[in-house]
Amino acid sequence: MTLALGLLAAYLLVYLLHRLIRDRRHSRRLGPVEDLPRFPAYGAELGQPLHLSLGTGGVGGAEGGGLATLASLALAEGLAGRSWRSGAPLLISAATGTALALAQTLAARLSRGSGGAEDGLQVRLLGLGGVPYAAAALGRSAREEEALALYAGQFGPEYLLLGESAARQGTALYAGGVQPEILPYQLLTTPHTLMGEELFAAGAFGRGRDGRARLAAADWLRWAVILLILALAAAGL
Amino acid sequence: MLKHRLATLLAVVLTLLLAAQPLLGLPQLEPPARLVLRWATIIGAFALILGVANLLGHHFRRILQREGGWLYSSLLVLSAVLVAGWGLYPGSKGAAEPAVRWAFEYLLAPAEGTLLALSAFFIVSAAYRSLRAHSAGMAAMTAGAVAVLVFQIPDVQLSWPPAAAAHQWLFDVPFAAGLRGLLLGVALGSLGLASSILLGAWRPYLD
Repeated sequence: MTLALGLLAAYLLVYLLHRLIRDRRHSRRLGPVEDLPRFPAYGAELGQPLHLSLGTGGVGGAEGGGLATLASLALAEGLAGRSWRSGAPLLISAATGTALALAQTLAARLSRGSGGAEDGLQVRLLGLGGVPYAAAALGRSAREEEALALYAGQFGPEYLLLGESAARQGTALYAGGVQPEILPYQLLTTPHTLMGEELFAAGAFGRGRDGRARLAAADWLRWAVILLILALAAAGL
Repeated sequence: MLKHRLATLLAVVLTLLLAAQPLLGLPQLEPPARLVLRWATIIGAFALILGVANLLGHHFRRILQREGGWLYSSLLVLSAVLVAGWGLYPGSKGAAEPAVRWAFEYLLAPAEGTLLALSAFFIVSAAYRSLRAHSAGMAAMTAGAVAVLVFQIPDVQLSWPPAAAAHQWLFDVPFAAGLRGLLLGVALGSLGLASSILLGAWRPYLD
């Protein structure tokens, strides 16, 4: 009961902050994400695709991933829109049926905005599950150079193969993850890694007022939790 | 527009239902919540078919256009057709069919295991490369990993008794603090993302 009330209160706080802050500027900086907007221009100039991976999870219960996959989709959405407008070839890849369906919905939204043209836009299921996906992505990157590889969402230990191969080939590599057991692999192989909450925050960039409001609300809430923990610790509870 | 509004309304109502059931613990909400989850499983199965069609479609195109690596694509299509055929022919036991089990146990599992076995070499190479980059964060992470490895060695613990306590301290204090911070951040990020879907501010399910 206490947990339910706490979560409801947290939700109400986020909602109220969303209403209060949506018209204000929020100036949080997030290093790796701020570099990303330059890649569509590189891709268009070099004719090399931008590879946006939604990870190896899905959004269904059995597939795992859930909100991490959605956070990855939110991040990919902003970058995909920019790439599409600049004419850079784009590949959105997934490893589960549900993530593929979401990626295809995003592609349909992009192509509808440009009168139905789909040249240069690929949505692919590279393999079903972690290791087949990694094997297919390794084969793909060996055949075709990529202007950017963005691997965000849920991954297993196979990330090490993906990340290290991309790093050796000199591909601009960005990653985002939420799993504590996989983050060391991502940090080791990938110079620009979004850790945990940063992945969710990254999705808010480029999403206008609502994105900024969500980011600001999450930041305020985080400070509230930190203060609460400090207050409880000071009170000896 | 009506289609979009209906889809948004449906998404918001179903999300609220699924969130309310465990939060409020009302037994009346359990059957509809279970029904919605069953629908989600069925939709997930159809999404899987869509995924397989996407995969096979891409590889068929590569074979027809004789693109580089088309032989591998032929192998993939042939394997998919054979395994699906074994599992789907009338009278087959599906996933329990001996031929399907054989393909998984003696082809797929060893192939995946072989690929993952490369991880050990990749991790050493990645650690070496990151140390050469002279990054303070990477140096701290590698030092932590080496310290944990060394402090766990029984001979080290025997010859230097504080090693066991140091190992435990590393796990209980800095690692646990980092882990909790990370999980707390993920929980708050999830809350923000879920609320933007619930409020209809972000609708990834609409084309």
